[in-house]
Amino acid sequence: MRVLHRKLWRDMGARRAQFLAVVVTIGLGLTLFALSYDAYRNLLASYQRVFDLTGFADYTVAGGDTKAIVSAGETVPGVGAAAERRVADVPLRLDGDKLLGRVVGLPASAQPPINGVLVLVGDYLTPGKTGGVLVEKHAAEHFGLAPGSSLEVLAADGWRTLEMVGKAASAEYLWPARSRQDVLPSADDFAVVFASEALLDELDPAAVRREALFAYAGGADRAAADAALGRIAERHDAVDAFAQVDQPSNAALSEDIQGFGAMAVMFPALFLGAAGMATYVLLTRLVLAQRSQIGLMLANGFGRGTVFRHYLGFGLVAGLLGTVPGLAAGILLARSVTRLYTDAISVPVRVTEIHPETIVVGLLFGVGAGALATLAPARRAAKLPPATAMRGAEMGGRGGQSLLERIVPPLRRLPARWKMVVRGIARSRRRSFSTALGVVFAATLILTSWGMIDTTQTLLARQFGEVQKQDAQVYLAREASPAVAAEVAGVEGVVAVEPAADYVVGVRSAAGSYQTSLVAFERDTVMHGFSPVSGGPDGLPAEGLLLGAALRERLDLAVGDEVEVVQPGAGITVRERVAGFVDEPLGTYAYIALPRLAEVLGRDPDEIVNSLMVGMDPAADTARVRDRLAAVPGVAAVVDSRALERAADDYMGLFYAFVGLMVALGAVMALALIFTTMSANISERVTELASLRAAGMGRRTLARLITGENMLLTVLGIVPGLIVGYLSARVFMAMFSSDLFSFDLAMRPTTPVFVAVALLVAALLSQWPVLRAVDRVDMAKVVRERSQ
Amino acid sequence: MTPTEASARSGDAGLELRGVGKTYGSGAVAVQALKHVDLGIAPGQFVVILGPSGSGKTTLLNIVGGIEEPSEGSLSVAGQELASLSRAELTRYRREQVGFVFQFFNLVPTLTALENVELVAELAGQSERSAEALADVGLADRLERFPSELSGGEQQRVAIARALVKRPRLLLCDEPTGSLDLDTGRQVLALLHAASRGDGRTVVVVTHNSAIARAADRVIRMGSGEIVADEVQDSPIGPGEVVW
Ligand SMILES: Nc1ncnc2c1ncn2[C@@H]1O[C@H](COP(=O)(O)OP(=O)(O)OP(=O)(O)O)[C@@H](O)[C@H]1O
Ligand SMILES: [Mg+2]
Repeated sequence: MRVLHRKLWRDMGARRAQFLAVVVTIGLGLTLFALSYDAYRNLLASYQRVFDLTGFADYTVAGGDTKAIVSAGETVPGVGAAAERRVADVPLRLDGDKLLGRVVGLPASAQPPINGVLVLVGDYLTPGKTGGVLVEKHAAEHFGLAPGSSLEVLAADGWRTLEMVGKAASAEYLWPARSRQDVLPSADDFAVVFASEALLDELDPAAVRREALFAYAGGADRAAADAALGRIAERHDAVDAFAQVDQPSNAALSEDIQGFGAMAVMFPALFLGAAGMATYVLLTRLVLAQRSQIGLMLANGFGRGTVFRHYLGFGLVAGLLGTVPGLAAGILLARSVTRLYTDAISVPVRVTEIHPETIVVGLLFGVGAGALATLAPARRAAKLPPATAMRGAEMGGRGGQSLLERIVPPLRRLPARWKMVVRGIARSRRRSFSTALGVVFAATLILTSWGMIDTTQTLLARQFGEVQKQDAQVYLAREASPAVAAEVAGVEGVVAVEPAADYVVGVRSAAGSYQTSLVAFERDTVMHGFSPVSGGPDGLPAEGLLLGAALRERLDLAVGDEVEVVQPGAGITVRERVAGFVDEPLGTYAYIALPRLAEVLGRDPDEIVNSLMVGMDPAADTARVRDRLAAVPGVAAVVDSRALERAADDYMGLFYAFVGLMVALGAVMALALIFTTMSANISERVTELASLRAAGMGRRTLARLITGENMLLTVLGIVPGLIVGYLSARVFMAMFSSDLFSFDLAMRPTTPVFVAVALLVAALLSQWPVLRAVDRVDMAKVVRERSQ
Repeated sequence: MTPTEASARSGDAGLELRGVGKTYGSGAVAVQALKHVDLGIAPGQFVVILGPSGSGKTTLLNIVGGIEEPSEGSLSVAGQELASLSRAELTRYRREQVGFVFQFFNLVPTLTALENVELVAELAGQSERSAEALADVGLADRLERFPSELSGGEQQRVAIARALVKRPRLLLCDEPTGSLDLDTGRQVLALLHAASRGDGRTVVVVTHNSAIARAADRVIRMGSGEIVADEVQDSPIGPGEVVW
């Protein structure tokens, strides 16, 4: 069989450009797979390492009778440990900035068994040193703090100075989200410090909440334990209870990483599909062209199995040639991607491992795609009756009017050369179909990626342009007098001020409970836009709640239903009807009119206002205005909404880079595929083309005809490609969608146009080598080959 | 008559090769397919080239037809030097002055008989003559057939119609009867013969088949890249009488 091996290599060599295109496509697919899948596994492992090192709680219950919850929880099967702690949301003053702060209580003597911290710099807490705190990594790095730096916390009796003793990371704040709603946190606005329990005694008791923490034993039935603890929490009037998956930081991260994991499988699959198509076309061509050789082999006593294996070999070799370097490159790149990702999120521990299953799965799929695509042509080769085969190369395709001509009769009056173009498509349906399908794959890949960019950009623009219209939100200290509003309005650069109330609450229905923020505005607010879900009220109603649309399903609610709104710490529970649902891109909030909230609480509106929405002069330097706002007495914290928007853009950077890469790779894939199928198209007809050239057809005319046919094929693929691409983008965005991000596909109308143009350009580019081949057709040689 | 005399007689209107040679490859693997061929062919002649396999017949035909360049020497057709033509002019030369007929018919399978002829006729701006050209080769009732619906002889006749539709000065045929049976071959031969009789068209037929030679005005024999014999037949037999 040595000679057959030599034949294999020579046949591949003769079609090296096409085989190279296939090998490159397979390689890219596997690089993408290894890179994203390994990075995905590394990230999961990195997170898990942090969870293990810190004893991340499996279940958390906030509020209610914590003591009773802990002792009841300890008896739940699967619960290995339980603990209690206090957490306070209080303003912090750092470097002249006033921001929302959180003080998490830890035992000063030793790390707690559940929800401990990783001390990255400095030391752990010391008993008796109440003012010494650990600052969470994101805040420490953002403000450039080191052990010895000082900061202030708003205690019950005014600002109290603290000293940083170390920098710490925590599983709860890998993604530094203040609440589950706060999916786009900005370190400018929110900081976490870990302090000894003693410090919590000095803080405003209304700001302090108790939490019960549970850790499961190995092998526990997590779902059962989650459910049992949930029931206990409810029985003891807990305000909030969530399993590890719903913990704010973890919820945001797992959302992100699940999308990543899905992409790690879906996009490479598109590549392998495309490579498979190209291999199939290439091999079908090869077998057709070598019919007489196959006949010769069979007639001379080669077994059918040998012939089958010989042609299958092409797919296996192409698969291997693409897979091995592709996988290697992907595995190497996975390290960098992991680093990029963990750095962007600021994960303190980075695990980079080589995952044998990536290699196994990659090899299986890469080589498998090549072999699978070759299966049908190889079988056809082995099944050829020797006699038919000896009759030599078959004329490519049958005659007949094309469907297009039957549908559009005027086409029948086209000059003969353009008829040749139109009929060329029907000539080899399988090849035309493969070309079109390849274009569909490329369009899907590009459109899906691009649709993701479009959607996030559109949603961010809507969130910050139409929904959240304030430039800053100023949180007021408890004792602040109504006069602060006037003072804030007088700050240079501030052009509008509106009172608002913003409380962390639980919304409860018979179907469950959801933790969110209740935000109260004046009814004629200009700081927030309410976009009702069909049929809802326009703007903020005089009575009743507007809820984020996700709660309709989550809490099984309809307009007119009554819900309970529970405010932790304050021990207040009110009942209110649902007046409507709003459709907002980020988060799921509850809204109510300020006078109505005052009414149900039975208090004066001035008393419940805890924050001010501020509009700034667009020309003003926001950082300056922010500083001036922070300096106003009675202002506890300032959240710069525009900075949030910028932070959102930053977080999206990595995502855009990844998606941009996909668009580029999609273009390469389209190029490789279109090139392969189109050169197969040419090689099928070399004799025909050579005889046309001999008859005096100019090279340009011939080039125009071939380009015409190939472009027509591309257009035939683009139309379904755009449709499939659009649908797949929708499915993909839906996978990312949740109560935190409502990702309804929002594709710009220009995007499909760009994609169509890009694919046409790719098709035109891949014409270039094809046309060069036509140009080089040696008429004398081709004519001689056939007259031998 | 010597080749030189023949060339003198052909004058400006004919075909003249002066010391034409062709070498493929170089160095040790060089193959000299044609060695210094001098040849003149007058307009209106029906010429048959005979010779064993590998003697350079196809090479000669290709050079005359402008699809291959000689490595040495020069040739002119109707007084025009082919070497002086640009690529585009060479294409026009083939389009306007040369008709090719190959052993395998090389028709476009997706076009009907008529459309195959039109394809070439359009190039020469003569598409209205297509049906007529097919009628001339006896295929008036096969216009709408696709190649796969035609017999070998019919396909070859389409190919001849395709070559003749543009009224070329030169009709070059490489083994035109090679894949046909006797009767069909005879019909094809008759068509080629007739083509040389009308408007002073030169017809050159390459073949292994010496029987065909008896119908020729002139028979050129080749061997090892050279012309080994060149004879004029004053009273050729009619193509219908050829037997092989
Ligand atoms: N591209 C090429 N490279 C090298 N040698 C070639 C090439 N084309 C032709 N030859 C050689 O040139 C010589 C003449 O070839 P040509 O095709 O003209 O012969 P022929 O007389 O037409 O033969 P046949 O009757 O078998 O068709 C042969 O020896 C052939 O091997
Ligand atoms: Mg020959």
